[in-house]
Amino acid sequence: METILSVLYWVTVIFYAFSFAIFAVALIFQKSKLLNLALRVTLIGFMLHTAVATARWVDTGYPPFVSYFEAMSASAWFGVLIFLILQQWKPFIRAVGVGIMPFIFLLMGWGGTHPFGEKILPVSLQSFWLFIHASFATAAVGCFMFAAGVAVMRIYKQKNNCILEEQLFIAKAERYDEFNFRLILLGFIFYGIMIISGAIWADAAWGRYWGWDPIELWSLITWLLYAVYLHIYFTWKKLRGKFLAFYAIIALLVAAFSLWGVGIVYKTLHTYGG
Amino acid sequence: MDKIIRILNIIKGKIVTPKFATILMIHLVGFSVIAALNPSFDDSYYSKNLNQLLALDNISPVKTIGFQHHFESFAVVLTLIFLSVSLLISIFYRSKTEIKRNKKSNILKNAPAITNLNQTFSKKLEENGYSVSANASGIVTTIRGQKGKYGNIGSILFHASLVIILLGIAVSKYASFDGIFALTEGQTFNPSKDRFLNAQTGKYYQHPKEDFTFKLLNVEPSYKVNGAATLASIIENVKEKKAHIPVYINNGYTVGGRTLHQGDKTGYSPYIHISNEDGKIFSEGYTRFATSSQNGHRMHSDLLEFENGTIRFEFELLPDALFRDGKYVSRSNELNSPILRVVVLKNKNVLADTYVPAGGIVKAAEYEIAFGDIRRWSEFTLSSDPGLNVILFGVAFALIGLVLRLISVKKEIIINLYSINESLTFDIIGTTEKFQASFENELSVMRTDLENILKKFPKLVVTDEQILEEV
Repeated sequence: METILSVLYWVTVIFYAFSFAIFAVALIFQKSKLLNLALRVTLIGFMLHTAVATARWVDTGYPPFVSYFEAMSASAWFGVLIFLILQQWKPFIRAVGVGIMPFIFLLMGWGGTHPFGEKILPVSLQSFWLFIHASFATAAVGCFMFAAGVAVMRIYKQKNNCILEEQLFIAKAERYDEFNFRLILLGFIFYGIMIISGAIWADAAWGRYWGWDPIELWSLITWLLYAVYLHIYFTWKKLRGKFLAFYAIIALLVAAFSLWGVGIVYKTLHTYGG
Repeated sequence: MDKIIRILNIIKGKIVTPKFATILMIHLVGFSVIAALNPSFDDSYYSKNLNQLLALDNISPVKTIGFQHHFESFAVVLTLIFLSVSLLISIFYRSKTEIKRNKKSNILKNAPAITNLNQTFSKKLEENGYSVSANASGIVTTIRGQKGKYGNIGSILFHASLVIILLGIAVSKYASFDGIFALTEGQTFNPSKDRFLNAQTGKYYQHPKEDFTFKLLNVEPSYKVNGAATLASIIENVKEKKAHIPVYINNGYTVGGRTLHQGDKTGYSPYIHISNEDGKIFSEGYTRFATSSQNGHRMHSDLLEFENGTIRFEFELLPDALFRDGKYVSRSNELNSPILRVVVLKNKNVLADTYVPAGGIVKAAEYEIAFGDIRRWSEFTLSSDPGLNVILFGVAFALIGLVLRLISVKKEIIINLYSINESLTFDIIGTTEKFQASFENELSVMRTDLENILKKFPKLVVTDEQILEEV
């Protein structure tokens, strides 16, 4: 079973990588028809991704965001899901695929280097709060990843003038700024809920809400970083645009480090199953 | 009052601006990053490898200032105070503006709807989710559509919640208590009489008058789900002399306003009796062995020193001992066939290195060491944090505020409808607090829709006769 899942997983990664390549070609050579092809490839990748996640869920009996592999895969899945939904609703998001897909397949690739994880949920993680905590973390990172993708598109838009903007569904730079803000606000709320639910769970498991564990501290740093983003957006209108676009990309790296990098560098009480 | 508002205005305009608040937040992020990178922040968690990797010891600010207590440092406290002042002033002004805006909106709400066209335009705004009010003055009818007023309330709530959280943190810092103690099965602990291993007491913390004695019956070291007790114990209320209370590892027990919780450290306490040939007893009783992890195995060890350190006994407990390759090793952490390793040193010279099974006696140099039964010990925490409820209250507030802020964007559309010489014309303007580009798009669509309505509209279908006369 694990071999089949592993093969399917890597096929998904290849599909996402292909979709990025097609998005990039569509934008650079201004081929609007390729944009639809890229979307279709993303959709096929997403369907495969969903199949892998569902099979893993059925196999283990618990939602697949417990191990490193599962958490990374779930965040990527959520990022693609909101991309596919929103591009249908707001066509100007379609071209943003070129910004999002690299983050998606890189995260998937990183996740793929980790083992799948235990089939039995570790006793220490058998808590209702795990699902609240982990699902909001996944959703938050999905939003931040999407926002970073929009930021990439915004930077591209500022540096390049497209003749076929309408055909390629490229919007005004300000539109991307606004959209980025909305995504980060949503991610900020999800991240806040993740921290709060984590604190409640920590009290149940370790007898304290907050203990300055490295992951707790880095989560606070990430949350504050995004709070600063929101404040800059409101108060420093001159910094909207390119500056905040780069900010969103760097903040995503910090968010990814706080979730998946801290465990590599620090000793932490927070463990991923498997 | 005017004087206060004038002072607040000066502070608001010159010191506590939203930009200043942003800078304070960046400052806080910087401090947190330094705390996270500094390995001396908490040696038990932070890897020394990171220190070596980044050569943090060589960075002068980290080295000289230390930052051992980052979050208690004067700079952080000052930042938090500034942030609180900034938030309070921001809340004051936001609330003032909101009250004014609501009053204005109520006046408009009472204005009459004048023409059919007016009603059609109003309906159009309502279809787009705006709450509509109208006001007629001469030949102009103003239709005002407003959206997202809860956004402002959400924003006020969120910022107020941060003040509440900061207040909770201050209460926690100055009025909380956090003590750690360790007990072996059968032992008792009284927080007013016995010493804690480590205790952090806030400046204004007052010990409660209600006293209790905690007696540990037995430690269940394995984690059991579904609420199975991991530790059975008795809490004896001194007055009532009763109350048998099981304590669960994941469910603290509140007694006398303080919460008792089992810590994550647990180990073995073997009974050891040490005497010499003359019958002099050096030590007798249950000794709490420290647990550590070595090469993936749990190690239980302890040492006892006598006569100014000249005589030293080093112990290692092997809970599941097996004789292999000329020495004893422990196969697991379970108490199956426990053996105690004893090393006797005199002036740092090893006199004896021997093993003794549970219930056995061994002679090592001139000393006789008896190893009795083994009990378990566990670490406990006793804490009282009145600030915690304040923080939780603030967190709940923050969530409500954030959600309100997210679901609403403050927008206003004003349509001025002119009725001059039997012809009808209008202009439309709008303001939004954010998302200007998409709002412009919305406004343009609205303008086109209204123009289409106007084209189809029969000239001067006026229902209000008073206006007809004016025209």
